[in-house]
Amino acid sequence: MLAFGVRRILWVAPILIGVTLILFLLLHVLPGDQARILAGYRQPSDQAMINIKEKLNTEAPLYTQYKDYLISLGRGDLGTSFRNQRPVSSIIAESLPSSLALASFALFLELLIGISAGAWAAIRRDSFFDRMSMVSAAVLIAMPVFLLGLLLQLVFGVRLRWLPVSGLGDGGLNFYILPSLVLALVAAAYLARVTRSSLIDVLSSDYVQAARANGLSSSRVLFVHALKNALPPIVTVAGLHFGFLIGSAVATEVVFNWPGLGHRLFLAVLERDRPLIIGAALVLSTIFIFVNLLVDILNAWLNPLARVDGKQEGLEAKA
Amino acid sequence: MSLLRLESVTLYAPGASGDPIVSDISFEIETDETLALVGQSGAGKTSLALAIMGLWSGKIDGNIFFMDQEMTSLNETAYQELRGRSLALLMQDPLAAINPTLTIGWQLREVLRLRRGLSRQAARKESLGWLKKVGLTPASDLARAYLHQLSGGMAQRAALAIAMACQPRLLIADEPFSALDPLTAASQIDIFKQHRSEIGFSTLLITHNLHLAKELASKVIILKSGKIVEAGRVSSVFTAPSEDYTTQLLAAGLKPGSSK
Amino acid sequence: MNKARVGLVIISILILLTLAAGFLSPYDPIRQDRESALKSPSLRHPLGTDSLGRDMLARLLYGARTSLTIALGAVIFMVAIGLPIGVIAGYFGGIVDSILMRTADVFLAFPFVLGAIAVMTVIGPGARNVFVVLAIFGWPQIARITRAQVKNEVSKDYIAATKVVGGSAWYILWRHLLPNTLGPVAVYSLMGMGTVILTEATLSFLGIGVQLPYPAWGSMLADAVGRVTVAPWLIYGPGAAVVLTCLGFNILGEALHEALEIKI
Repeated sequence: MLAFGVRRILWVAPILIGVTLILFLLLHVLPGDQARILAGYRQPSDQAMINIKEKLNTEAPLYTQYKDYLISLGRGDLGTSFRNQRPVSSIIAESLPSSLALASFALFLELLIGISAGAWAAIRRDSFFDRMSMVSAAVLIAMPVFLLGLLLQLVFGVRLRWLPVSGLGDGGLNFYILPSLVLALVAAAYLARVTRSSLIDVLSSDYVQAARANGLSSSRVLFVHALKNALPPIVTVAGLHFGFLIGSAVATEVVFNWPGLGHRLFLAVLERDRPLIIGAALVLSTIFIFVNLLVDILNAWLNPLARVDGKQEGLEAKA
Repeated sequence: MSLLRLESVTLYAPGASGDPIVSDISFEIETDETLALVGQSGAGKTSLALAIMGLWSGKIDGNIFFMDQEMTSLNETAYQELRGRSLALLMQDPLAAINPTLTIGWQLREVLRLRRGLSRQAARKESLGWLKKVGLTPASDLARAYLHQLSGGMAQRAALAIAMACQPRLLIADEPFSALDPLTAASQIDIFKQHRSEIGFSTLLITHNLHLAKELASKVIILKSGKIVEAGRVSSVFTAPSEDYTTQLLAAGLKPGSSK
Repeated sequence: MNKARVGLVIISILILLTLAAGFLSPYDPIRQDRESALKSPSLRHPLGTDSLGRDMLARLLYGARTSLTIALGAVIFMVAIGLPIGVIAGYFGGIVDSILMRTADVFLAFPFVLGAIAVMTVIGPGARNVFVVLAIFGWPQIARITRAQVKNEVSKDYIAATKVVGGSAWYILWRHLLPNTLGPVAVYSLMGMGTVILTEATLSFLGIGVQLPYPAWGSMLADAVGRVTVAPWLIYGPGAAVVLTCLGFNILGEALHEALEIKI
């Protein structure tokens, strides 16, 4: 188990190198004179251009620049925002917490709704509940998350006037409900599907039949024997869809005017603030990579076979 | 007194209203007796086993008596009481019948604690005893093993230990040796026989192999497409089969334990 | 009810509507008419008008062209990159496989929308660049599926038999491996159409996809932000269009999936 964990952590390193390389290329190399781009869209003075070029060392070979980029990343320096000349890292640091708060709340709702709906649908297979929840899941999966946001705003915020539809307000729980529900519901739809099919597989397996034949109660069979075996694909999908959750969060924060990193990213796109966009992409991709690492380790803990079988490692098993 | 008695039992597939899977099955098993239910795959043998265990989800006609209690009308809680303690099931594929994410020892202790009410300490001790009894030694190592660390034969022994842990009166063994290679099967058959004589329990042996039936059972029932075609003492069925089908089965049968 | 049929019907209707856009709505989807901004649905404007007075129905129909063209183009690009890479990785294995698949992993390490935003800000917005971005972040999935399929097929006895009688690597690839990958790739591509349409809608919603004034469902929905109170019809038309289209492709993909008994 320990060896597995170490192997998986080592496996993350080349991925991080690849991700930083791509972002470095996007930030420094691709089209146009990057000093001009970095100086912003105003007509920069010659002196300003020289200063920027010196600072970025643009005449140096590419690999030296990449090395410098990595070194500055190591120092926690993500560059400087065009717009207000503040460090990207401090802009991210001030907007990330409210996004994380929203995401954690959404993740909790996603797991609660997705797993319980999927499990109930599997147990009561072909019942009315099963059919209804699978139809809803199909519709939700086909729905852009911002559309769901607009619809919920319309129904709960405007027609029924139950919940606030914009911003974080005083930080009260009621401001979290709609945006986190939007984020959670679409992801929960995927989760409910995979929970249902995984649990149906497990419930029809011989060892579940055997556990019943030993006289164990049906709740014990379900929670101890079936659920543990059904969990690995569920955990995997939850992890993979974390990336989807991050992408959805951007649109959701825009719809609900949520003061988080996603909304900041949206403004940066409007302002063509490239360093901030690339910086945010780096932070969020890194979070995603580590979430997947966590998922693999969790799966190995749940399933003894995954620890031994190298084939099951990493993203390999998720294709 | 008969331990288990089936009176014209007919089983229908779950949800379907078509032809029954088995129809009009009657037989009885005495205490400490072994009865073999023989037939090709698809003859409805496994369905009968599930029906006796109360795990059949389709419709059941007829009556099943266990220790003179009518079972088909029993509620789930009452049935649950009987499973494991009075009735046990040994499934065909040992590699599928054991939970892959829990250790062997854990699964054995679970049954001992929940079904026999043993304390943690006592269950630990007794579980090691059972592992030794079925020849899984060193027991303390094997208690910590997961399914994927066991061979087919070892998994079968573990499954037998779990099924026997509550000392049931009747063991239903569904093709217990057919997933094993011939040599392993032969040694498993020896272990099984030894247990039967030591502990003493009745067995409903479900198999497609007439020679295995001859080796382990005293009575035999031949099933074809869900109906009984011949029944009797092993000796008479073997020496003077009255049906063509039985003769065919006898001719087709290989050595005991050979798989399909 | 036959799933495949439902999916096919939805998609056929969509394509017909797209082709008949000119007949179905007399309005120019681009021309603004400030006089009639934010009019609720009426006989003149069956789906109402947007904040710049453009007819919603016309924009919806022409937007369908944009969405379908982009989705189809992006999926073709994805397959064109992913399929050969997957076949090569799966067939040759070893170091080639490792390099290609680790590269795929790097692209998969970006949350899709986020990677798309990062690239779009550099190469600029617009419909053509949406293709490129969707293909860049979509090919690894196709490569994965193809590779798994090829690996599975390569280990079978008949491939060894073909080698024994002197079949060349190219012959085996072309004649045996490629046809076996097509089923799963087709299923994934159909389901991918749905995902790609959703992502394109998200990018257009965020203002970096299809550029105004050209109509796209995502940017039509962006027009509704902050206006759901006064003009709820802004979300009904484009919303229903996106959902039904994705649903159509997903259902068709699932039906094919079940019919071919493919595991993805």
